[in-house]
Amino acid sequence: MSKLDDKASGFLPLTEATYFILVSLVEPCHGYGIMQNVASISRGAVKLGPGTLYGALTNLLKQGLIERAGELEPEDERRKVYGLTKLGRSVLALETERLGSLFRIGEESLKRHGGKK
Amino acid sequence: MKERTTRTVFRVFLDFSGQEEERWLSELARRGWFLKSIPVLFYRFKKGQPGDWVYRIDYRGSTKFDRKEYLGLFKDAGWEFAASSAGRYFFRTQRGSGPMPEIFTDKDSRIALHKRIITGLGLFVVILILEISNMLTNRFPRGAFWLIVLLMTSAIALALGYGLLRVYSQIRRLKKGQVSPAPGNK
Repeated sequence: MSKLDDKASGFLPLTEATYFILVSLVEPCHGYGIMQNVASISRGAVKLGPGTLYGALTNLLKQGLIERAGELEPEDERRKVYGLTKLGRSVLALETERLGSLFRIGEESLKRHGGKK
Repeated sequence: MKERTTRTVFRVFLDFSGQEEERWLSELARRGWFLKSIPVLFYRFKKGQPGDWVYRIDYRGSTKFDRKEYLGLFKDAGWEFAASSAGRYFFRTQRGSGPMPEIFTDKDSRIALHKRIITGLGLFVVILILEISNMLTNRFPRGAFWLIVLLMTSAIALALGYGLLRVYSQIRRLKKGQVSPAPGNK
């Protein structure tokens, strides 16, 4: 495990909201874009309220998982653009791996014991 | 007679999580009164079209933050900023036919909100307790005035303490999953 991964693993597990925010920031994006993106990739299942989103962005900035990524829309100064840091990308990759292995374990054992969806 | 277009109401809530206040403000909006500003201990309303509005209160405390970006995010999400006072931000949005609109949509952010409230109020309680113990130990002239101030300070401290306990128990219930993280989604 690299030093970066070691540090990144300390942030797991992520809340659903945090996971969706990091996924949305694979490409730099502003807060409103994150809300729209989360609603669209979850097909409307996850709705991110502005209070929850603002708090999460503040925390992620403080933890160094995201950073201000310049101004994509300089005429729109109230919409700040964020992007993932190296650490943030590593956290997202590790969490995705973790969720994937959980998913496979759960699916297999449900299949074996005749579990129904 | 000219109809009034503004009104000022005095009201104190001991539910510091803000939920009673939110319901009260929605009720007033149904009667056509919309929160306009909050002078200390008062609520000022302006007359408007009666409607089904949902109010939500966020508490930011005294920490520095980018107010423009913060308010912009709420606006983008469809929330109208109504007023702010002492680190508390009041928003409203029209109640549609879908699920109840919420500004906090998960358990963690609701718990974080309640913790911010406790931090904000806790300071007041500590100051009041110091004040009371100061009054009891120092050589203040103990007359009627001393007694009145002591009783009033104690009453306020007790009320705040009671409010704090309610916020604590709300956090406990949120952690145990006994309340839905979005109280309106029922």
